[in-house]
Amino acid sequence: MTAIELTGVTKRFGDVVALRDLDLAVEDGEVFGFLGPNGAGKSTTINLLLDFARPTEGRAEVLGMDAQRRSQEVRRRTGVLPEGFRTYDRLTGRQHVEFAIDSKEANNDPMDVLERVGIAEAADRKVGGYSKGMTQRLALGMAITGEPELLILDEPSTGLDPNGAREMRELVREERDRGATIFFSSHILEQVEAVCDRIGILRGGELVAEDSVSGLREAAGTAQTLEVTVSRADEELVASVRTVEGVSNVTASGDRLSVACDPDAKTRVLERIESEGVTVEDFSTEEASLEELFVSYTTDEQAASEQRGRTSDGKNSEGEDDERTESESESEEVRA
Amino acid sequence: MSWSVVARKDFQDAIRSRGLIAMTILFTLLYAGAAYVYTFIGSSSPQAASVLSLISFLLLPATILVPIVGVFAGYRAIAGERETGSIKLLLGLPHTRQDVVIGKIVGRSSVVTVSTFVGFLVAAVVAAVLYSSFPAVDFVAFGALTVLFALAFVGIGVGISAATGSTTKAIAGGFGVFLLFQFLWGEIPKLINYIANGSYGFSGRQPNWSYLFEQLDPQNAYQLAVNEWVVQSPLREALYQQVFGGDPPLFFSPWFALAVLLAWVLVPAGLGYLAFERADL
Repeated sequence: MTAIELTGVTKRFGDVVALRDLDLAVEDGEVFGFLGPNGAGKSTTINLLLDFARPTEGRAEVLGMDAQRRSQEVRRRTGVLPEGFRTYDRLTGRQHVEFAIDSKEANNDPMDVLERVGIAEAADRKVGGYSKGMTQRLALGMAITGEPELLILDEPSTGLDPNGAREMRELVREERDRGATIFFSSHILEQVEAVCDRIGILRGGELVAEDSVSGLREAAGTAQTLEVTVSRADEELVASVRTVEGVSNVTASGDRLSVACDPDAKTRVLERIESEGVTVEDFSTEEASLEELFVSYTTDEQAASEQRGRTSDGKNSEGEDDERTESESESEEVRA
Repeated sequence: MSWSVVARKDFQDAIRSRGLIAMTILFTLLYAGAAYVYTFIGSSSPQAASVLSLISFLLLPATILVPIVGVFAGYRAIAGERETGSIKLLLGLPHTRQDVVIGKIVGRSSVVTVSTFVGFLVAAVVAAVLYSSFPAVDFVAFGALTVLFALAFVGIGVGISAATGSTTKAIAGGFGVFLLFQFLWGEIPKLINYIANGSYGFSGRQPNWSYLFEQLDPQNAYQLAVNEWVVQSPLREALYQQVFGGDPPLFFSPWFALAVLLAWVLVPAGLGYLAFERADL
């Protein structure tokens, strides 16, 4: 069975397109990492799953039910840790969990729940006095009451210290072992990498990658990072190296240049640096990490290509002429 | 019965707010204070002061204060949760938006009821001690009608709160509605007459439709119900005789007034719900 299925979902807010023709399937029993930078549309997607918002086009199904028409039934079988929520400051932690238990018609003991998320000692304190991390733990506790079939966690590590984040991941594994499907949304790769079976990367309202963690790792492994120590690593050089064929990303720090590129592009990169009148003092090659892959998926290539268009000049070699022309005409359009 | 879970939570939460405590003190001061003060100004000796004339005396300030309290109790109900984001916690749980609106109405109404009850209880004690006779039934009836009157404005407050995502708009809208009833409602029939016939006031007796319109104002409905059922002043009878030459039209019945108050609880809340149901949160 499919726990979550989005089919051709588009969501517009006025002129702004938050999601564009999104297709996504999360299988029963898996831990699915939903990755993307802030503003990519992750929370909008979750809002549609919970019927906080309605799709402009397309259809969302959760646990085999229409997410809009049968929302209450969906939420009866789903635990939700929303993003950007607030608690009821005048009520205690125990009262919050009791509210969740009553709402879900569950029969948990509130103290057991608070024990599991590690805030049992604060059960009878008003939540207004909780720290951000404790509030996050409380909401996680409310989400897991009633043993839901599906857990939707939106940026669950918000406000948690590294220890808290680790405990949260352990809890996610426990819930998975119990048989729950987990939809884990985050903008931090390492959170997702540590616990998820499969990852989808959302960018600008579109799914740009969807694979198992090992599959993505493989994809990452084929790309390499060339670390070059140079005599002068300025903006001009960075921009120029970016235009080399096979280069996906370039960053500079101090006199070091990090170039993410295909393995066969390394020689061209070093040649380009030399042709810019910059001396290569040292260089080494590293396999790209998943993190770098994530960055390459989620950084704005549009801006990068505009940059290319503006800064390319006669120094380009024959081979890149086509690309340059294309970039230039693109940036002309932007300016027009 | 998902709404009852929401109502209970909302009551637990709201009953602990400073606003409610302030509201209760305000009610207590108004009712108990007036009961005490009225023994000096209402008649020559405290013993001669009657609870019925006290109720008459209280009716005007209650007509103004209770709506403000009702709107105040209701305006944050849903807009406040949307503004802070606690609505995500609330609707992450299996409640429909209808459950939320009903639960909020019931929760906030309970809070206002408790608050009014405390005020009336203290006033009843003061009256029972100071006044020669204490007609408990009349006092309870006055209290019950006052609660219903407050609920009409809770309904208006929650309805506007549900329809708008902002507490600023909700409080402005709520007080706008109060000002409409307080100052403008009675002018509307005259305005209609001006548009239709070219003269602002009515010459001779007002037409019945304008009386009907006036009785749709919850403040008028409240006063009429209290006057008919509790105070039962003979002056009112005489007035009807003079204006209508006998029994007044049906909409001067206290039952009609009761229906009007109930409608003001339900209709704005229903409209607010329809807007809330369509909203993206």
